[in-house]
Amino acid sequence: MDPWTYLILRGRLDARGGYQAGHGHERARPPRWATNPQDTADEPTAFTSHRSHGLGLHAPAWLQPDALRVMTLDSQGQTLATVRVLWQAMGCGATPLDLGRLRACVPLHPEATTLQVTAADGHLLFRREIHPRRPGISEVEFKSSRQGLSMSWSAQHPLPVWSDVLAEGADGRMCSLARRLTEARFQVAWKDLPLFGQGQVWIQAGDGLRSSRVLAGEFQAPPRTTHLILHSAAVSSELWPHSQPLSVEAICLDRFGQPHEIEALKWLLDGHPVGHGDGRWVFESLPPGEHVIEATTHVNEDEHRARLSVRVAQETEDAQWTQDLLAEHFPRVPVP
Amino acid sequence: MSAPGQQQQAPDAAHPVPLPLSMPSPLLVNHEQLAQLNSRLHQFPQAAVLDEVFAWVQQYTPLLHAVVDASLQALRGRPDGQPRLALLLNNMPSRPPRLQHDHLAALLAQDPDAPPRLLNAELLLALASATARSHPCGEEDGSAPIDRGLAQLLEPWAVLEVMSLALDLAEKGHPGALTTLATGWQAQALHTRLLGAEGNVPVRAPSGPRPPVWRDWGLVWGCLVTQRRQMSMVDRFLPAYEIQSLSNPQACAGQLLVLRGRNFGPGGRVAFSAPGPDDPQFAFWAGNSALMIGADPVSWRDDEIQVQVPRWAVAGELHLNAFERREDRCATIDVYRNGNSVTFLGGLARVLQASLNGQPLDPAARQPANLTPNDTVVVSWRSSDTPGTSVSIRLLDENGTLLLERTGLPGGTGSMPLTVPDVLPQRPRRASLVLSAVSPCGIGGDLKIPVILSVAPLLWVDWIEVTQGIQVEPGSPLGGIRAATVAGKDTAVRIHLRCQRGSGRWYDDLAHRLVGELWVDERYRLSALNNGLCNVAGSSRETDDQSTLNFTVPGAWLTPGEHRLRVRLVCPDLAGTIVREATLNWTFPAKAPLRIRCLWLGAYGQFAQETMLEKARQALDLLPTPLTAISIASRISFTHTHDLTNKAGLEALVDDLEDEYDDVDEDEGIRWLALLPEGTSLDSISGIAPTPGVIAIAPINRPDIAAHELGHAVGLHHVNLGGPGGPFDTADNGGRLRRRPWDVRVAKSVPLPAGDLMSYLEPIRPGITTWTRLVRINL
Repeated sequence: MDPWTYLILRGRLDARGGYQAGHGHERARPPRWATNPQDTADEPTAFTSHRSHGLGLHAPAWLQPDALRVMTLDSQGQTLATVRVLWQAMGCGATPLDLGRLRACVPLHPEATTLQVTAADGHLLFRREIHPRRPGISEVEFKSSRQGLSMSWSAQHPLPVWSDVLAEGADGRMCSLARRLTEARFQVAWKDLPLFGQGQVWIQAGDGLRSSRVLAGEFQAPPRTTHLILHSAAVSSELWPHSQPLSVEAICLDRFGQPHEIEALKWLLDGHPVGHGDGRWVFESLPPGEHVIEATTHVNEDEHRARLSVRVAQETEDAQWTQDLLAEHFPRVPVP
Repeated sequence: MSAPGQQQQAPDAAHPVPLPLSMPSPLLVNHEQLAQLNSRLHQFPQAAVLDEVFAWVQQYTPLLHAVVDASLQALRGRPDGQPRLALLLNNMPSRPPRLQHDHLAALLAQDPDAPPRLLNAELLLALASATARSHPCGEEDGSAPIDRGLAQLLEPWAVLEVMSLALDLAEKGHPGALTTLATGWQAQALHTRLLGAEGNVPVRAPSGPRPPVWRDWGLVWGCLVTQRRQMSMVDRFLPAYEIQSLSNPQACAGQLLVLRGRNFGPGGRVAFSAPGPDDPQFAFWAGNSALMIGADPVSWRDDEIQVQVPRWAVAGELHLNAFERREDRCATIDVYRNGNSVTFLGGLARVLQASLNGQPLDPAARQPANLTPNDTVVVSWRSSDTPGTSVSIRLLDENGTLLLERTGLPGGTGSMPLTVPDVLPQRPRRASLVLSAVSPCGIGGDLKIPVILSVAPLLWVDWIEVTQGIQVEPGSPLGGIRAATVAGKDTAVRIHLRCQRGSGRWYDDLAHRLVGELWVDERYRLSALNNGLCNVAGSSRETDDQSTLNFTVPGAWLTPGEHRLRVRLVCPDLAGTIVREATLNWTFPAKAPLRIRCLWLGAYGQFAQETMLEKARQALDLLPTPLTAISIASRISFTHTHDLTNKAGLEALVDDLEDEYDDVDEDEGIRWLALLPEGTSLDSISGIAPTPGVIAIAPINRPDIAAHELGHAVGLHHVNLGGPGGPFDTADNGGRLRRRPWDVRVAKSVPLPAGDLMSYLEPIRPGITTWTRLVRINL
């Protein structure tokens, strides 16, 4: 018997109880959101007399999100599993009729034949048969060339199926190369591949609820090394002399693209070291003209360097006068 | 009205004569001549040479000060004066000479007795005299190291002096001398530039100038060098002379004046007050040495002196130059004795002294006294009191227009109440209070005292605003609510000011060109952003960003906890500089940053990752979060085929991105800011984000929309000011912002009307309710 899997269900609901099913799929393990409570704000200010995180005041009582349930039933109509939904309001683009979107992750019992969404008092919003079999994938052909990857396959299922092409990096993280293909072939150039180094390509076929996945092949993409980036609000503007300290922040992405903790960064101004610190540095009193900010760090004994150019405006007569006047009345004392 | 001598900076100091900094003190240098030379020479192409000479002068200035100081000490008999002088001049830093000083002679048609133009003649003489006394006997020919040191020290000043003379000729249409000087100055550089380094071409390099000797400066300051053997000193141990009486203190020119007293010594001269440089008599009598050294007496005894009042003598202090000549091996020395001075009220009539409301007026005061329009002030004077003396008072504006006049006032000591005129248009202005005296002895020049006509401003810091975008005025309906600020985020500090000039809004209560600085924790200093200064008319106004002093404090300085903000400002008002300080302790609570990963919704490589980060920063500027957790999604980009011109396409894109997010298994709390390329065709919806959710989609060029969608992502609904359906959140004032939001990044306010960040009334910025919600939400 197959191990238990999880069905991911999506849908949208309107104020009349109308339910529009979205594209669901099957996962081997539940996503994080299905195991954590929903993060909401709760009556945060005194200005809010009533604030709804659910459907809003215009929703009928029986459609309040706390009452929404997703359940699987066996062929006898017995409930096998019941879960609450993750509710999201529509935000931008919602019409007066729109209530929101819901997601749910329900364990797929081997004997489950039906999936349904209900509101309060058991009001049925949506019902769908769960096909006993996942879509089949066969005749997979996979080719890696100098140009990129190409593949084709055949999906078999009584219901209409869509295919996704997924790639898995060496760190185990997945990302898609294509989603909801109706054709059973796909190719991608190396330059468009969002993964680096060694990885695997999977074909996934789904009927909107049940899905299966097979390994298509492995690839060796051009590697990515640790990447240090400097960014600052001043990059797009010219600093005024004397008054504007320059804040610069550094981020370091590891070879998987994940932010990497920066412990010791060496900061340089116009080629001269100014100090060591973490990923944040403030440069004061930059003289007028072009300046190059650099930062270097070592990861696994490799040095990584990033640079940033900024421009400080030329000193105006006003600026100098201002500084002279201040210095005359508030003599500069060295700050320890 | 401000008291004379109050701390002051004239407004037109904003446009100072571009003189080099750190010039020697006015006691040593005639700054006016120097400024004139500077501005005159800049009309000629040789001005670049002047800049170099100025640099040279500056290099020697500290040493010149020290040498003059040591010279004066030596002449006053201080035991360490001569050794100090010798040490200083014997150890001059060596510097190759730039000019052949023999050639300078050819440039000059100089009167050998003309006084120095740029240097104070008395101090120059003291310098020469003290040097002469400090070098060893037998080396009086100018070859001693101390002489060479003095010659080298004065070289730049001599060049400046020559330049001044050459400039006279150039302005009369004879530029030859100036050209020769400039060419000589640049000779070595020209040679190198034209022919390369020495030795590269078979042309003899110009012979370098020989080091200057003291004798060279006789060409420039003739009297100085020829008289260097004759010197004077004061013998402090001789009994001081005492003038006890004047026979006729009101004597006119030509009349005999008898001074009685004691210890007058064997001889000397009587020093009358001489006409000032502004007095036409000054030019008339220029060159008469008696003006400087005193009038020869008719007779001189130890207890009585008879002297004829000179024709140039004006009323004022009178003293003796009582000396005894001594000859020694090295020099001829006139040994003077100390003594008193008395007031002589005869001679050419003039006003000696004036005061305003009892405070003496100083014509050379750096800060002129202020006269407040419509105030009554009492002007007092002391003048010649020859019988028949008449005093007049005039008040002239900066253009010489007569504003007020009183004539026929009595000589001697007197006072007069005056009502200060309120000249239209009302504005602070410079003026002169001119006091003149006329007597049967003649007219001896005006006492001209610069004054200011102004209602002096009262200035105070109204309040200090600390904001990360939300502006809540103390007097507004939300006055009791302070918009929270979070630690680690760039923060604006705005100084709201109030200015009052009397009760009638004189000069529109304007305080002009205020400058300020902000100290954070007494450690970090910032200058104001709006070009460093602001103008306040009455009080700072919300609609005028330039009416507050604005600062932006980097978030890195604002760690969690309380920070001390200290503002110091200077208002250089004509009536007197105003200095103010104010402090505020402000608490910045810690708040975990909103964790953002940027994702490009286009083809990989179309963009710079730095651009994505910058756009995310701009979005987070509008939210109460430190900007310390912005990064790039590991897949960097996501290409799709959804039709975004309809809502279903956008929602399908959200579904895809949620699946991607799940597949990547992002850490908890991370949200993706998916950036649509510029020009993406969209429906009426500009962005989208499930509420709450992990995905926010916005156009890359609309950080405000990105902030709005991130607001949805952390759980905020719309504020209903038109636009899409609910659910809605309530907001202060229905979401219409009461006061201009502040854009911390560019230090500018956003004009009203503006809507809450979560509304559709553009421009959108966080209102107090939304901001407070976001502060309280665990992002």
